[in-house]
Amino acid sequence: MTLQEALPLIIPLVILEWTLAIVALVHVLKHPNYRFGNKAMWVVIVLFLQLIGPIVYFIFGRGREA
Amino acid sequence: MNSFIALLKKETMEFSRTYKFLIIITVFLILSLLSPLTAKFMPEIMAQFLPKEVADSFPEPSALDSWGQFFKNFSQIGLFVIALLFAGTLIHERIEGTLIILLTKGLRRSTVVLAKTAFAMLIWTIMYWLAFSVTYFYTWYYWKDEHVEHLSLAVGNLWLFGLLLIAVILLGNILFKSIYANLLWTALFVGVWFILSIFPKATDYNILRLASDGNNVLHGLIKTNEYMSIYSITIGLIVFMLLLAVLVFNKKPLA
Repeated sequence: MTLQEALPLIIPLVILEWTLAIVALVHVLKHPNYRFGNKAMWVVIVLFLQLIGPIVYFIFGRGREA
Repeated sequence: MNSFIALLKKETMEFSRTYKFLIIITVFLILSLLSPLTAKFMPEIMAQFLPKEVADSFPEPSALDSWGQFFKNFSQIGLFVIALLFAGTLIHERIEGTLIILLTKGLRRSTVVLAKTAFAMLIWTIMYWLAFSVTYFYTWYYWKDEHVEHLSLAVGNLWLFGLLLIAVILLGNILFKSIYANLLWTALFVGVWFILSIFPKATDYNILRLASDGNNVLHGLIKTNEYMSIYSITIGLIVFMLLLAVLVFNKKPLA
């Protein structure tokens, strides 16, 4: 399979992953209270651990909305 | 009935405000896209690491491989995400005491349990079938002239298993006061059936086959009538878990 053949799958895949990562990044920057860890740690996790990072942040790391 | 609908609305709002809706929709869509992608790419990736003669002996990827990946993804990661998202759905409210006011105003406890269960099952159903349609579309797109038989039986089975898992998680929400305890309880429930699958005599009754048989069903090795006892056990278990959840919750002190 060539890359061109795979594009119809890869484009939506990349869009989905980055939507989740960016929503998580905005949340990390706007709500500086976390259940554990600090801002820098969460920025790295959310941006560099695609898919797993944002999920871990929203389920375990997100602090109370203030 | 009115309070049931109001509770469903509240659940929906909470689900999207805690970003759980976003998580489930992206994860399920990604899993459904990955299924045809891995099926298509796997032989080429393997060929990078293996000698040419071995790589050439691989069969061409087929529509069956794409569905094989779908069942692998959803019976493992998909169900795990469902467990993660709903493991605390009632535990949170019990810890924070947000239900006390509603319950003292006359909201029935059974309505709370049933609304939570209905909501979780509805989300699983909608998202699962959405993911199914995406994989279906791409499998058709890449393998246009291949017809996959027995697909409806295989997807239906996994969907039913998801419903059972939700009933287990909801009961866990009432039995325990910690999300981790609930996840452990759910894992234990699945683990018991894993152990049972060692005994050949129990195969006719092992509900775990709903989730693990996907590939065999696709290859036409198993027929619908072999599942009849498994279906009755599963549906019986779902009803039993929900009844137990309502009964125990009625007796539980709040806060």
